[in-house]
Amino acid sequence: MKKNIVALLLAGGVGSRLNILARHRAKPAIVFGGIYRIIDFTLSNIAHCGIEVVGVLTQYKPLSLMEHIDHGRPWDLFGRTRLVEVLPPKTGEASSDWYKGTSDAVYQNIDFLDDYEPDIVLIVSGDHIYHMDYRTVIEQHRATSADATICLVSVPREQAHQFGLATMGRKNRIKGWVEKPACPESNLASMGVYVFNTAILKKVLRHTAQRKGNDFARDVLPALIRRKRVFGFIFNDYWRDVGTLEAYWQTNMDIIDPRSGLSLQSWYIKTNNHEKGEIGDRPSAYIGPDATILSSMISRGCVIQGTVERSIISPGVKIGRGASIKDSIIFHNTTVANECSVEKCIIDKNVRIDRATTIGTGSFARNRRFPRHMTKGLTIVGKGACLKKGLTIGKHCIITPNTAVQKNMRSGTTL
Amino acid sequence: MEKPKNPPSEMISMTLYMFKKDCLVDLLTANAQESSHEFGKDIIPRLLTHTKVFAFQHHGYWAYARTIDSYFHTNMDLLRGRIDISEWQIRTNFLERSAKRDRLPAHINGPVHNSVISDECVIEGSVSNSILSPGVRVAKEAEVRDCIIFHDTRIGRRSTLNKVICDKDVSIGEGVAIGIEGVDTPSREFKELLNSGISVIGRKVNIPDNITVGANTVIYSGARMHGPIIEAGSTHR
Repeated sequence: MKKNIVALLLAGGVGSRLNILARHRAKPAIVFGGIYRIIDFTLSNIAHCGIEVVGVLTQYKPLSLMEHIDHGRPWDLFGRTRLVEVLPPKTGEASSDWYKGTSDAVYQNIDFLDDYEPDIVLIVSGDHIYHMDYRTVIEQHRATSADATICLVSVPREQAHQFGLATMGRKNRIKGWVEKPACPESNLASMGVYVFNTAILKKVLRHTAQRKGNDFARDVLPALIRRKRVFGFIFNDYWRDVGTLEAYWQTNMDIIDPRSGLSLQSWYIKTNNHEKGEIGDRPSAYIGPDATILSSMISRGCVIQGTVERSIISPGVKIGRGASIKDSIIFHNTTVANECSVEKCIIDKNVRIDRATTIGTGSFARNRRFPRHMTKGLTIVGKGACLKKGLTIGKHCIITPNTAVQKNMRSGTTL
Repeated sequence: MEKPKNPPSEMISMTLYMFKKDCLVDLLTANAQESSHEFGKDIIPRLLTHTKVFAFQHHGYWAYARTIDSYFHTNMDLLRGRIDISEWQIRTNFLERSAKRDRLPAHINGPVHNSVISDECVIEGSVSNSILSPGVRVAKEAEVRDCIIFHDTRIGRRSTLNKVICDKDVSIGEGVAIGIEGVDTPSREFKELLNSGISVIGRKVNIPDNITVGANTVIYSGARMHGPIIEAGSTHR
């Protein structure tokens, strides 16, 4: 079946800097904005610009992701001619068949591309939050007769060293490329969105694979820029990499800041609301007689009896009387009992916090095991953890999934 | 007895029956020759004289929603904890035709008390003892009390709504007051049905700024309103 464009979505990231949030799931499957998963943003972008065949390259803990994607049904990418295919590594023969990197993942799926004979391949990363019409990129790609087009976004200078950076010449032709340099000379960062002419892509992938290169940004792009017509497409809207806990937290908070540029109202994001094991549908949220809610997102099935400020609350969360939640993100079905206080926390699914426990208070002492993961006071609680009543938990604490917390935790400790 | 003037019993039919199939077919076949075809009036009385009929007593919640009043109070039972949708495991169809996206979680930034708030509501004003369907917007300084508001209705700044049942896609301007004046003035057209201070507003009705609408009022979909005051107990088509 011939398709002009095929999209490949890279969803194999381990997400180690997202710590325990990525313990049970691939990074793109992490809950975002209450009811979404990170991957919904790119998948919705793809669906809205009329692309009909999408390959999702997975590797690390793909189960939760596969369930969520559900063959593309929630995005209307389902049927004989419209589909989302999950492409895990073709293992079984040897462990070396696992994807060795982003470009190797695409290289190992050239046969998937060949099934549809596309002229153009759109490659996007599944772990960024933005709203983009890829048709504008494809238009420029065609107008400039480019071999490849790399989407670029301006990032603050002090963060530039975390990205692949481009320098551009006349008519947006890319002249230079550096991957995560110590001293950045440009702040035009790669968004992880590439458009390739299929023939060129196949050729360069074969070439890099022979030289044992396996990463798009490090191995494929520099080689391509030297020999082929590679152009930059400048994206001027909101774009965020949510690969760190602090970026993840801040990007969630941007949802409730009307000036941030993250506007779910106008972004048309679709998700899969189906939840395993729920017999009935979730009712609308119930807000109790003594509740106070300020600047927060509240999802279906929540029962809020306490105070919630500047927080993002996923479906089925229960907040007890006299409890106070501030600047926090709480995932599905977590229960916070009466008189608890939660400040600047990310709390995963199915957590139980018993009465009068305080989380996120005290000094800013760095976490001793992961000193670089949190610096601004966050505390994270893993899926299924259980916190006994009356405890005090500090800042920069990490409570690993399914742990029963019986004792107080000082700032910077991990359990 | 079907709807007797002086009821001899407090046990009412839930209109929930179970029949032996052949028995039901016989009854319906016989009834088909007659002029009236009601279960309560025609089928059940005949059943009692011919067959073995037993009652099953239901002790849980059961309520009617067949008048404006009973519809209103049955909705309000959601807020009194008498109806627990989670416990009942009710399923519905969330699919909305041609929706370009899924509805977002509700965004709440105002005082909300004892209320049901659905997806994509944006609450800047105050809401109490009310049930809001998806996509309802309540602007700053607006006040919604004891109301049932359907999908995507918008309530403008400084507007106050008291005991209003509002259908979908209604647009209420700024500084509007509905259901505050004339709570004791029954509807002239629906005297028996609309006399407890509830007002009903039809789908896609547009209420301009600074209008006062009295209680027990009905505004039909497509109705035109004249002047700044709409009298209590009036009906508009």
